[in-house]
Amino acid sequence: MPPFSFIHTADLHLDSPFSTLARESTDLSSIMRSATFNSFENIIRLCIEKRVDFLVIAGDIFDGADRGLRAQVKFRDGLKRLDDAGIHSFIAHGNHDPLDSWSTSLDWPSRVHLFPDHIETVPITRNHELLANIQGISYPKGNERRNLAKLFNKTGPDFHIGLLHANAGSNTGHEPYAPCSLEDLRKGGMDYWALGHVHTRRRLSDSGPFILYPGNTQGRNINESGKRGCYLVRVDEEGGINAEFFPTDLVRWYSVNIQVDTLESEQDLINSLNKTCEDISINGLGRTSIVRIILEGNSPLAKMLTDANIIKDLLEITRENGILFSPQVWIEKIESRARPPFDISSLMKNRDFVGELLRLSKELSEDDHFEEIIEDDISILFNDPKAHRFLKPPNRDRLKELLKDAVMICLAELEVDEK
Amino acid sequence: MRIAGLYINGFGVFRDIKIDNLNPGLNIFVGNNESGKSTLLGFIRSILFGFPDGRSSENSYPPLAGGRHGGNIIIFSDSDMYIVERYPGVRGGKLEVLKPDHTRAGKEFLSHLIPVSDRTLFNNIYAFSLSELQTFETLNTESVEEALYSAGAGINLNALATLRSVTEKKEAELFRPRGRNAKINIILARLATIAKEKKSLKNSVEEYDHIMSLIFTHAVDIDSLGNEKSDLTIRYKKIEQQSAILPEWINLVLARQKLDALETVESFPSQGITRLEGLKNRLDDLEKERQGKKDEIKQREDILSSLVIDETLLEQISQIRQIERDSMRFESVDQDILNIRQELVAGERKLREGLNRLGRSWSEQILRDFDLSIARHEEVRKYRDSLSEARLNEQRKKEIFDSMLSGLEEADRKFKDMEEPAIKDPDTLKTLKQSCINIQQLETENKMLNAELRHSHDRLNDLQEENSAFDNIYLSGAQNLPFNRVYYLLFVVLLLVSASGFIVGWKWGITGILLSGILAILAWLLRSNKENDILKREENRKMRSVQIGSKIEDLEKRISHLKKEIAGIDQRIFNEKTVLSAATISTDLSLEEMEQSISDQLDILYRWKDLFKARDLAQKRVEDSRVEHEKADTEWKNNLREWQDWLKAHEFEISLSPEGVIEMLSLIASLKEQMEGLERLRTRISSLEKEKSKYIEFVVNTIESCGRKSVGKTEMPVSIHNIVQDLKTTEQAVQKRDLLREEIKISKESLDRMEKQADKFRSDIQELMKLGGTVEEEDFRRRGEIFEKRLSLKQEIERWEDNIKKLSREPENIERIIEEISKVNSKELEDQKDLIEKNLEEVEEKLIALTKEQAALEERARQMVNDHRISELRMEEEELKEELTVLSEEWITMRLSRVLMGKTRARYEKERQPEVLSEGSRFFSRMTLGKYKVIVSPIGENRIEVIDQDNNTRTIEVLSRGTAEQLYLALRFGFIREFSKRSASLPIIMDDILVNFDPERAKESIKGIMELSNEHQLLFFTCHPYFAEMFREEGPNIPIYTITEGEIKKIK
Repeated sequence: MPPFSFIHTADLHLDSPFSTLARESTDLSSIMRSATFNSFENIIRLCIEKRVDFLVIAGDIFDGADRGLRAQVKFRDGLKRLDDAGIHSFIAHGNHDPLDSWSTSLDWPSRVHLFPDHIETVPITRNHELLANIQGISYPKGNERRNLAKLFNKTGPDFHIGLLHANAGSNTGHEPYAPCSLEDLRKGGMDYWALGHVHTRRRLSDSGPFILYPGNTQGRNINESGKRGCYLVRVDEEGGINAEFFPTDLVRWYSVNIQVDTLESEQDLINSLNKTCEDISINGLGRTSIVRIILEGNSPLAKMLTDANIIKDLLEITRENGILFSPQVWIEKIESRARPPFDISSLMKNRDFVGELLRLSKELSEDDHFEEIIEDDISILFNDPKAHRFLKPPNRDRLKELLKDAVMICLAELEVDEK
Repeated sequence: MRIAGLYINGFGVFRDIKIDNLNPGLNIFVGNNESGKSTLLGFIRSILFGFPDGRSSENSYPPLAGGRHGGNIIIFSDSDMYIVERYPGVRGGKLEVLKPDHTRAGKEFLSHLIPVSDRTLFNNIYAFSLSELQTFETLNTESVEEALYSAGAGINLNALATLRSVTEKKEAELFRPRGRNAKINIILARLATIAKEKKSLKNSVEEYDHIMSLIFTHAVDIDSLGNEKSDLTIRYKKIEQQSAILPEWINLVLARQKLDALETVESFPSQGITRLEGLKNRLDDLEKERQGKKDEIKQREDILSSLVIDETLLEQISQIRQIERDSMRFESVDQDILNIRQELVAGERKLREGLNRLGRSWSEQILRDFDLSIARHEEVRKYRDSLSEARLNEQRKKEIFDSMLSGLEEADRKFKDMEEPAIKDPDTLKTLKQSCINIQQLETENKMLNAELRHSHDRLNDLQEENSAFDNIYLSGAQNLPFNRVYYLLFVVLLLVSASGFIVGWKWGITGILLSGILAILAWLLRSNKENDILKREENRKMRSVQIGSKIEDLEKRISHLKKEIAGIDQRIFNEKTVLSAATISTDLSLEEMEQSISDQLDILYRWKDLFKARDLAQKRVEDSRVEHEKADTEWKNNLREWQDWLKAHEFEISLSPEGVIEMLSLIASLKEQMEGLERLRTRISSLEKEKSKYIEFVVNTIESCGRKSVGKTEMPVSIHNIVQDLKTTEQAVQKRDLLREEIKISKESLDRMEKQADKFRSDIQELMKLGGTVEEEDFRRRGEIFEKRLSLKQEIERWEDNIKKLSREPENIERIIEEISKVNSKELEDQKDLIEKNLEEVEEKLIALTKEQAALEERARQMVNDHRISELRMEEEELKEELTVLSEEWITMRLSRVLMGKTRARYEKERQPEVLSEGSRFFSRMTLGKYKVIVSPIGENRIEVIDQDNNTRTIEVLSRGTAEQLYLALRFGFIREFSKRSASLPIIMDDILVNFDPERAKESIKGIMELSNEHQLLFFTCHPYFAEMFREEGPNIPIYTITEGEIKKIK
């Protein structure tokens, strides 16, 4: 078997919206609107530059059924460039872009292979020499709940690549589409599983077989922070596999916690925020950065930070500074989890109203039925006919944080002395 | 906090009322019904919490008695005074708080000043009338409850209320069920709109597919129309081609016919006729030229025969040339000889003059032999130097001698001018001078001794006087003791006083005796002291007398010694004067004058001696310098003699000086040069003469050789000129002859060539006609013309054929094209062309329309592909969702803080209320004289029950009116007590609340009220004077005010 190489990518989510309140920045809006496309463009460029033999895409090329035509056409155009360079493309569709969601009038270049809704094996050759067999399957519809991994089977002694959009193993933090276990994957007899679906890159197995989630190509919200990109996989004569990660993202997300304990004034805080921006800009390596800043710790500033207008002012000041950096740093949000330096434990011991309030909040947050206890109180919003489509109640941990905030509001309004 | 005073400007029945110095504790206000008690309560409420607005059930008490509605209250808080003033204005009236520092503040400051900012709370707990007292609900309002919990929490009384209102407000800002303008509602509405817009945009994929299929079919149609169009275009072009070729083809056919009709002349020399004409012309020209040449030769031969040449001259040509060359030189030599001779004569004359200047004996020979060497010059110079040096020496010595001589004369004159002194020995004069000085000193000494002698006499007299004075003092010494009597007198007086003292009392008497005794002792002591002084002084006097005696003795000795000394000095003066008189010094003069005269004589003597010495020295010098001068003079004369000897030896005048000789030497040198120049001139003349005669000889020989007659020296230049001219003429003739001969030769050769050329032309003509297929010139010309015509026709045919080929653009198919053309005519072609044109236009139109439509479709597809709208909507949706999450969490926080507060309150209520109730129970039990023990509030229920002394529980409803009022009053006391644990005290105002109490319970209640007034200021209003008396019984100093007809007065 001659050695060969290919790029493994998935979850392009082309034309996918960014979860950020960035409409205030026109520049950033336009960068972000085209970020997923440019990330895909980086992958195409990498294929050509590294002269790979083929590209495999394990589903979720688009974000959803309402994806734009622009995305489809740009995707097709990218593959056309690979075709012109003599590079093959293999595509299996996932839950976000099932077969039934594609435009019928797009004509695909000859070196592009779209896997159908049943298992298909495609041999890939170079100079009439077989490099590998690629086996894959596409989701016919979005809500695919079958274990598709079980359908894969090795057809011969040659190198086999399994291309599948699936939720391998449990607890991936993603919807269980085409669920399968690691064992199912091992049984399929593939040499390399080119998986898609999980957005954080993950190497499930290094050998027998090699199983890899490349993650998505561009982070789109604070939960998708850090580097995003694709893998360049090199296979040697013996079938040995080496997978190297290449970041392709244009915009990178960061979540930064700032301790406010030692800060004494608003100016200290602004300085600290600006320093954070500067550090991120330097580390950005030419990328635009989107940062969520979480202020933590106990500080006399905390009371001030409960004022939404002050947070808004801080955000504006920091943003004004951030956009001056090159590449620019956009502060997505400043979240204050800072607490005023109340001596909670000693206040809690007092036999007064405040003591009662603190004891009660502690009992409440430790109660196993915490969500149920407050469900009625907050249901007025979450059960609202207009809201329930878009809003889900926060999870237990978040609710606990919010309860802490509520306690702080009470303490501040009740004019309890700080430490 | 307490109220110190108040001022009512206009409020209800009151106008311009002022109350000062309200008691910090209890104050009783007594007034009949409608006298204005409730008005006063209303005033305090209004000033502190604002005038009630139209919605309130409270009476606003307009100023019925006039004045401005409102007034002020003086408040003391932490011993600082504040004036709270309120007059009508918006929102409860215009409020001003005058602070101790005289600055003014408003509502916010007041709320800090009064721990209760809630009107209801104040009305219900602190400033209540019977109507508030009678209901439990007034105690149960939210603000009272919140104040209670706040107080219990150790926090601001208003904090809970504020927290509730703040969180409620924020919640409402964030979200309202079925609301529109809250932030979350706005976002939800926008999200719904976005969802709709997205749905409408979702259909774009189907539309895109449809457009793409249309684009495809259109592309096919466009293709077929394009094909049709190109077919028609080809056909149209073919017809156009045929139309163009047709006229060319007709011309071709005509040309071919003309060619066929002409006689065949297959070959003819190219340009035959022209060439024939040319040859003939050139032959004619050649003939004419030949004739010209012949004439020319004849003419030249004639000239040649007429030429004459002298051969002898030609033989002598080189000699004649030399003569000609040298003739100029000959003339200049002649002239040179003349010039040099003149120069020679002038030179000789000048030389002679020069010799004369040297001396008569000087000839050219002497001059030639004269030695002018450098040694000779040096010799003369040496003489010149030694002569001038010797001369100079002699003159200098002479000058020295002259000056010495005049010096001697001067010294001699000075010496003779001075008188010779009498005494010539200076030592004698010095001795005399010393004598003068000695006399002066002795006289001075004499004066001093005389003075001392006088002084000693005076001193002696003084001592003698002193001695006699001592004797007198001694005689009067012992009588002088006057002050002792005073002491005795005082002693007596004191004794008398002591005695009288005894008469008066024994004490005084003893004192007088003691004093007298002391005085007596004092007097005795003083007296003995005085006597001692006198004895001592007597002894001193005696000693002093002895001392003076010895001093007088010493003085007398000294005086006799002095007298001796003076006598000695007088003797010495006499001696000295004797010396002076012996020296002929006038003794008439004073001593100083005498000394001066001697000093002058000494000076004159010294000067005379100096002049004497100077004259001797001058005489000696004159002698020396005369010897020196004579010596120098001799030397100079010797030198002069030597020089004159040298002059004679060299034939110079002996009067000449060496400078003169040096000048002569240079003249000799110049004359020598002149003489040499003359020699050179003479040599030059002889050489020139030789050269001249040589030339003449050469000329004569040459002329004779040329066969010419010999000539004399004078005619020579003319002969030379003639022969030279003849030679030139002969040479020219020779040249001309040679030239002519050459020309004739060339002309003859040229004539031969022409002959040959003519023959050639003739044979060429024959040849040409032969090529033209004839021998006749005329026939030749005819055949030539036919040939030319055929040629031109063939070219024409070729051109037409070319044109047709070009027009057809298919040279390989030209045969077929020509065949086709031969079958058509122009009319048919025109018709076909029109038809195709029409078809083409139709196809074109269809194609344009279709292409346009296609472009529009493609543009639409492109637009759809590049449509950002859906991305933008999704982005906005995403952003809004994010914002929604943020806002919802904020809302939850607000919600939770309210929930937390509510739950805490519920729990706190359970635990805290008992404290209010227990405090209230204490008061209640006391007011009801122990009939009721405890007030209780069942858990979770908003009601009160009481337990009586028999442990029976009773609800409020079953209590009598008075008891219920006592219960409510007790509860208020409980609240006030509970509040005051946490916050500053507030004044309490009670408006006739005891009316329904029986006297005993009223008395107990009054005691309770008085207990409360220890901690709070209390204003108690009543219309019953006996309540005031009851208070007075408990506290006699309680101030009582009466309210009558709009007046408030304090009872003294």
